[in-house]
Amino acid sequence: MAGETPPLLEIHDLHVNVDEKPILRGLSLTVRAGEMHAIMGPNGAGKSTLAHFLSGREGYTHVSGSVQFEGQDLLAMAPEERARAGVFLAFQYPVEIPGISNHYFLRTALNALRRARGDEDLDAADFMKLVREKAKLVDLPDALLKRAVNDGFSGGEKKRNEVLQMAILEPRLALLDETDSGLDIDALAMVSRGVNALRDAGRGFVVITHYDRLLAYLEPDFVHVLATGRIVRSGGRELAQALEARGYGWLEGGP
Amino acid sequence: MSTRPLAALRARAQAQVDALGVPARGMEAWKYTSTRTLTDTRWETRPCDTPREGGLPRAVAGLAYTDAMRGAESDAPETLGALVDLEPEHAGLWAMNTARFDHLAAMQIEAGAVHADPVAVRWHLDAQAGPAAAHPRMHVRVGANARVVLVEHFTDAGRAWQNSVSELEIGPGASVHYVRLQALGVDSVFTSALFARVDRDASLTTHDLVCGAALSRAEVHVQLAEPGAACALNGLYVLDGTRHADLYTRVHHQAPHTSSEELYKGALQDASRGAFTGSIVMKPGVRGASTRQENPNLLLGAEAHVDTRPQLEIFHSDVKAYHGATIGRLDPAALFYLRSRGLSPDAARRLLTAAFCNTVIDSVPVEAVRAYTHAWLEDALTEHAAP
Repeated sequence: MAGETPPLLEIHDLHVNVDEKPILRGLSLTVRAGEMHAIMGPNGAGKSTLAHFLSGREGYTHVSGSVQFEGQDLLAMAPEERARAGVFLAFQYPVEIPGISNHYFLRTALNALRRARGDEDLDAADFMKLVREKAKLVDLPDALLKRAVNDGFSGGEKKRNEVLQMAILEPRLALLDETDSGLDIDALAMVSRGVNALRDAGRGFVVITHYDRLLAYLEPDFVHVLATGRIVRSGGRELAQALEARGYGWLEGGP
Repeated sequence: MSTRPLAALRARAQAQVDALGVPARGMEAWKYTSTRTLTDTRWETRPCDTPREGGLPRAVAGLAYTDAMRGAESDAPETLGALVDLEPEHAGLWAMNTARFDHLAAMQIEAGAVHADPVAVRWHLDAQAGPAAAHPRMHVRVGANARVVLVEHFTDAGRAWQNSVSELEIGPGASVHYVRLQALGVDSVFTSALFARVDRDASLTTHDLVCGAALSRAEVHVQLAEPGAACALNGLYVLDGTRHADLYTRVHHQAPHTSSEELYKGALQDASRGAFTGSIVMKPGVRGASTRQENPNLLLGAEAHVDTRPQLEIFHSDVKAYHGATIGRLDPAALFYLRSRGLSPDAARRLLTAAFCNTVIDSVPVEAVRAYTHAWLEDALTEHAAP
């Protein structure tokens, strides 16, 4: 079945440098609609570089290799074009923006995507209805919608806010960059519930994490180990459990 | 004050005008601002229009204006001019206002009175027949424990120069919020000085909103005269083209346990110029006094420039003082965050600039003024998107 679906994301032999230093060194990965891929790996393996590079952040040098998103050259697109095409990055460290309410920010972002698709702006009343419904997914109280974006939010609230944005923007491909970091067990369950609610046959996920505990909630279809800039092992949940039990040491040097 | 003391005050002021003239850039208090446009232009002095039935153009929607203005030669308050020292070398414009003002908004807020609605004064100068100058004067005595929000709103048509002086005497325990909304045309000039005395346990909060004028100089002079007196001074200047705004504040801590806070924010587009001076004087003996001053600036235009200077003259050791000024550009991480959510680079810049400014606007206590300023800001940032 998987073979019949066109890939959402196709990364082929990707090499990326940061300040002349090779970080990604021949990474290949294919994600199809409906799939969730987890990427695990030790610190410094290039996990966050991959997420940021795919969303278009500056500061990374593309050396060689290709990234196709639904058949288009993703790397030729500006960050906002990637977002409008349906790529979403849930940030490990969401940015605080005092002076703009979360509600206003969410509406501005949604309307930017709607305009790019040729749709009308959503008016305030319809948006209010939508945001209330989506906020329930991650138990984000109304008060946090009225507050400035991430301003004074706890770590868990920021991550839930990222998932709320994802729920409202409904991307085709969601990249979750260490969304579990800094979460206590309750927040982890809430965030996972929000993510799981968004899983459907048309959407793909790449979940970057250090630990198996998030994956216990998400149950990804594939688990990959990223080490020294490429994927050195792929498997199912059992691979994540093995890593949790044994660490990354036994993988050094690759397969 | 009967007519004779006013005549004496005017005569003394005129003598100072003759002696001092218009302040010049060589003066310390005018270090960053040239007054050449004041002396190079032939200004015809004429009175501001006052609101009447049918109103004036460019009003703030939803704001009711008082008609408290009256001819200057009617009974002026006894203490008119008491807070304005006409001696310093840079007092020329204050003296000019005192010598020439022809309308006066004089108000007395009764002790204990609580005004739920703002008291708004509108100064509109019609200069369509040629460059015109006006010297609006306001004098407000606020009784003990009264609470009031005052708005002074400056507008014009044509090329105008408004040179205003406002005096606030704030009685014990009173709470006053003063908003100076400067919405002059892009070719106009604004020079304005607020003088306030704050008595025991009273507080003054101010907002300077610089929305217009080619050249704008807004001064705030506060005496924290008795223990427990406090002031919080706020300002926002968003400039474009070659516009110039100079925000000048001077706070005298004259008693123990007085506190002052200042937050002035500037967003400078194109080749605009901004200047901020935060002058704080703490006399010996003001134990437990505190001051905190912040002046963040966003440089959005390649040729924009800002000068910022704290001037702390502290002659007592048992005090708290903080000042911080920053001059920076928009945070690349925040810009990327917004672009990753689908906003164009321009839309992201506008949103972040608005966010920066909103933290000042949002503390204005008058909904109509907030709405006006938000709308004005949106226009100002749309028309002048950063490169």
